[in-house]
Amino acid sequence: MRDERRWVILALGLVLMVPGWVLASPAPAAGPDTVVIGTQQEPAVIALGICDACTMFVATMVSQPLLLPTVEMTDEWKYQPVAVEKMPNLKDGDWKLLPNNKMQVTWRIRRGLRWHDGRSLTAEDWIFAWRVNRNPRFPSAGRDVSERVENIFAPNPYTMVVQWKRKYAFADLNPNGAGYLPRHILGPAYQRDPSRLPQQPWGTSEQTVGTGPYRIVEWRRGSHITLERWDQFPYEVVGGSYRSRAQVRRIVFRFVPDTSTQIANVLAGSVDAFDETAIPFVQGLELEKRMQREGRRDWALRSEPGLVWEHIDLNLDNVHLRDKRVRQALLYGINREQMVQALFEGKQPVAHQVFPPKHYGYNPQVRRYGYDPARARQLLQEAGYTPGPDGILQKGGQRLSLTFMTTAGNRVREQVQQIIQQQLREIGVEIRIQNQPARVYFGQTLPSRQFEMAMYAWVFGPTDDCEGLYTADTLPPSGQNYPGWKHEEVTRICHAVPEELDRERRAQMLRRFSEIFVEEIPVIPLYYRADYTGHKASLQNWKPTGADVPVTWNATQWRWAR
Amino acid sequence: MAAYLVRRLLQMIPLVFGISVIVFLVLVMAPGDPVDLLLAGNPKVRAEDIQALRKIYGLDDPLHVRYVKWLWNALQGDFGYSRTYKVPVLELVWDRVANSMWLTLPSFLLALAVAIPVGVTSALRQYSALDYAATFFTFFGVSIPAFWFGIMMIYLFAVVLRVLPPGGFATPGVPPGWPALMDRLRYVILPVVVLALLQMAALTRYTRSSMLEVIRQDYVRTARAKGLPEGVVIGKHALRNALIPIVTILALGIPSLFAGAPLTETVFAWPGIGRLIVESVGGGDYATAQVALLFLAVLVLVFNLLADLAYALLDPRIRYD
Amino acid sequence: MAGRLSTETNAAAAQAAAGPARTWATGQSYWQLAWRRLRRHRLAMAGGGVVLVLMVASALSPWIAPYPPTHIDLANRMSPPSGRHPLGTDELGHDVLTRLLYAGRVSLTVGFSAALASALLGTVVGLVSGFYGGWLDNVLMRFVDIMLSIPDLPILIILARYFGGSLLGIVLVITVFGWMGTARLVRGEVLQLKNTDFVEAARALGASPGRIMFRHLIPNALAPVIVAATLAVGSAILTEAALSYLGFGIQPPTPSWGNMLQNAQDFIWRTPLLAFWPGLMIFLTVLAFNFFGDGLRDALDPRLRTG
Repeated sequence: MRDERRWVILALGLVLMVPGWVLASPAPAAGPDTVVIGTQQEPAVIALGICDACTMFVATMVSQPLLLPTVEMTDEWKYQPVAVEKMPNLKDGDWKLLPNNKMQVTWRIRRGLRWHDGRSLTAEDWIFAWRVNRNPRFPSAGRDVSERVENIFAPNPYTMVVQWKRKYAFADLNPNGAGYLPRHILGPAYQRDPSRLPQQPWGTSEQTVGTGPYRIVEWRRGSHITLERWDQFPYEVVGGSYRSRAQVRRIVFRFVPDTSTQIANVLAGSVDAFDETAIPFVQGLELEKRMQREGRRDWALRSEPGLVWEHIDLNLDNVHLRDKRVRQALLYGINREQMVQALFEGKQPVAHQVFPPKHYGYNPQVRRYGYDPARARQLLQEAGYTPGPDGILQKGGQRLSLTFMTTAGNRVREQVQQIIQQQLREIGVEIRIQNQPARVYFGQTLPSRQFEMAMYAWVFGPTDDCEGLYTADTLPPSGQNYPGWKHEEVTRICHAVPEELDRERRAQMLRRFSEIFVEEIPVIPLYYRADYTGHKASLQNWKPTGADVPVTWNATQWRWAR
Repeated sequence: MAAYLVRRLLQMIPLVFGISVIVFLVLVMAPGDPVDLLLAGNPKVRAEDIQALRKIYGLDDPLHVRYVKWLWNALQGDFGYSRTYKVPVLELVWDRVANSMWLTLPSFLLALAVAIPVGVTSALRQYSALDYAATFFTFFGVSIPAFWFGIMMIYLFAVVLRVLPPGGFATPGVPPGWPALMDRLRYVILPVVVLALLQMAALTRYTRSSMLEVIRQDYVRTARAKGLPEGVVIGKHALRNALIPIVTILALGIPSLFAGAPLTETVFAWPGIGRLIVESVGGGDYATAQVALLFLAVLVLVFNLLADLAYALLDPRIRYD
Repeated sequence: MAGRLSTETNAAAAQAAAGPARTWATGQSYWQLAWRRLRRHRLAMAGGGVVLVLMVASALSPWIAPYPPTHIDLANRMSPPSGRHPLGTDELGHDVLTRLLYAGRVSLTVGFSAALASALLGTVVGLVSGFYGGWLDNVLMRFVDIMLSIPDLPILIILARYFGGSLLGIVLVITVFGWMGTARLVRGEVLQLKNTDFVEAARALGASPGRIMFRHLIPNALAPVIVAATLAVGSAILTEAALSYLGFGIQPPTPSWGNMLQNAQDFIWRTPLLAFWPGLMIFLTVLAFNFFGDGLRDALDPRLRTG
């Protein structure tokens, strides 16, 4: 018997000893010349040029310090040439309109830019990337711009002339729709099998030779990526934010999939900053409050209202939703203002149209639907609905009952659903919540239009517009007009916008689009999402853009305060 | 014995084949198209590019063609590339299995180190205060949702006490060798304790049960009646026999070491195989999910066989023929 | 520990604990005896008591809950415990006590239904396999091997995709991976009982296979099945919580302890109590079922009594 007791004591002793021994060893800390960034997802590919259907945002975040952009966008949404000498424009004649709606744009690449292996960065690299992107055997999901280009040629290694098949409004921001790729590295693999290009070590491992002020030194799968300053970077010949000499020696991206764990990392200080994807808005808000309550000044958090538009698609083939008055009534019946105040303290503002205020197509004068249940009931009455025995409206024997779907497990969306369900019940509309895993929802339900109301978000870039979303010829499977909105004028406008070169005229067209949109309400606009980012207070020049450009865009300007 | 072994091994061939078919079908026939999912939220994708992607990924062939293609390549040792991670599947899976072993092996050993003595003691003093305490303690571990317990541990040890890192795998920049090992140990502690606690209950209960069964056997009574000291009775006669079923359980438990622990790995940001499987299934990375699941299934079969053999070797009453 | 991923979902505990139980006798006196033994098992009785209280409370929730379950009050979000809301309110202003009671119905229903369905399926497979033997036994047991060898969580996720987040769907999904332990258990019992004197006698007297199965085999194999099922209730509740964590659990507005715990995670840094209550309920329930099942095992197995 005594033997057993000894066993137990021995075992427990061992169990307690191990942690004690490890705890006694000094805690390793990141050096003062390092910035550790907490992020949610590990990118598979970090080079956009070979990124087939990957998560662009994460890939861009890691690649910005590594691969020089052609043109960069600042946090004030200004564009600056980086790898090129200037952005072409019509006035200077390096952007020329040709007969038959065609264009020719000439770009001058800065001399003295080099790959980390010493090779010069030349026009050939842009041309190669464009060829790769257009090759049907290469897996690419982003050919919408590159397909507009007819040909590119290089009269000399630092000049490229891009011939466009038809007019394209943003030909001064994007030379070829594909960026550049290292032809000297990827050429042979491309010749062998274009479909296997994304499986090359370049772009998917430490062997990614870059062109930027940082180079990749370590990629621990599932854990972190470490970038290190490349001291031979030719700061004197580049443009934009890349002109300032990088101070931070190492940038580490640390992948933490669970949000609560990410927050623990922030609270414990084991990350120095976190990016836009790391902590969803609601938890970010909670974190901010906790830090305020504790009076912590060592972190600075901020939320940047962005270009992500949360909305509910209405299936316009539905017998109830076909009627414009019903759609308007739904909008009047939802108290969006109260909702965003309660859930987000108003930091994710109500959306009254498609484009957010920061987008150039925003229309400040469109009609706004405030919360007005009386008006909603009146509209439904006009549409011929009468109260049924259970308080739900009906028309011709059909109850006004709609299924409402979204991605299962998305907690904010589930909360919004429950609020809307209760509010619409008050105007006599029954909402049945039926959520699906993201894969079924996006991979099957939406593309086959098997929904009545579907909540999700569109992520806009500053130059994106309504083409593909609301043009009558882009219903799935040929596009993503999931509501099935077929409006002649809208279709015309949305197709014309990308080909209109004058920015003010473009904005005018989109404002007209918004007018029609709020009158027709094919989609219920809910709110614009905001992203939280944060950094230790002593880290300076952390400047999130609130757009599809991740916060690493000005990594060379980051500094630790002394 | 040899004939039995050969028969069992031969039986495994159709079994592995069957598992591969089931896994393949379950994965591929699940609703939702992986390409559509990848492109969700990107309004700029052209329909023809979606078609092209499907073709390149081999998703538009009929099911049986896809399976035969996969099988043919697999038989030649080519398990394909992970569509998500762009690396050969075998490399990826092996890497993740190795990572998971950092957690599963120590936690299993820790669980054993606690469970066997506690289980034995519990059995010897059934219904004593110690038995109740042990029961309560072990069931405590198994009654808490793993992810919840993990977050609480992180909160306590990383945020409040600040003695251990809040999840993760390695501190960037730590030089390899001894410092890296020490560094790794700090990250290992919390998830190992969590996992160990989860396994302890089952192991303790099992030890207690089989010990209870053994100490009532005639030979133990005889030994006692002969007046042998209690320590000798328990140590020599009872414990050894009680260990037979426990050894079986161990053999059966070993494959789960390779399977990782998806929830714990997610909470602790540990790049293990459990998380990889869940992610690859969710994201439609068929090649990866297929190989990982099949690999684990084969391991289970092999260890089932080993368990049976171990049983036969340890217990002279059992004969296979 | 039957080589499963389930260390995280507790199915292993059920299998292991139910493993070595055996029964020999049948009839009234046996059950009376068992009951007497059970009554003396303090932890088991405490566990049973807790289970009973939880069951009654959640069954009566429409009458005892202070609010309707989907009553939203955005002006009163995450309020601390007070006279109006004994346990406070959650992120939508739901009364937490109300939600806990209604969630209890859902979680216990999931637990009981999944355990019952698994027990039934497992018993049928085990009985058929053990009784008829031969190639049928071989095929069924190899299928059990296959099921046991595939990690459960990823497959549960795929199945959840088919069945959605409905109550019935979740029960089905959990059952698919819940019956194998019972099947092995019952098969083992049947193999042993098949050669006992009373079954041989029944067969000699010309009893039909159905009669032998229902009169002699099932009643004698019942005890370990009951024990396994009791323990499986807790494990099913934990599995539902795990599925909720991954976003595949019961869908709102229907509350379950799993999805309440999951929703509360967003707020654990500010209102940790929100996560504490459902966590506590899961913990208590699973613990209670484990204690009860454990005591039941001791009580139903007379050989383990002496000493």
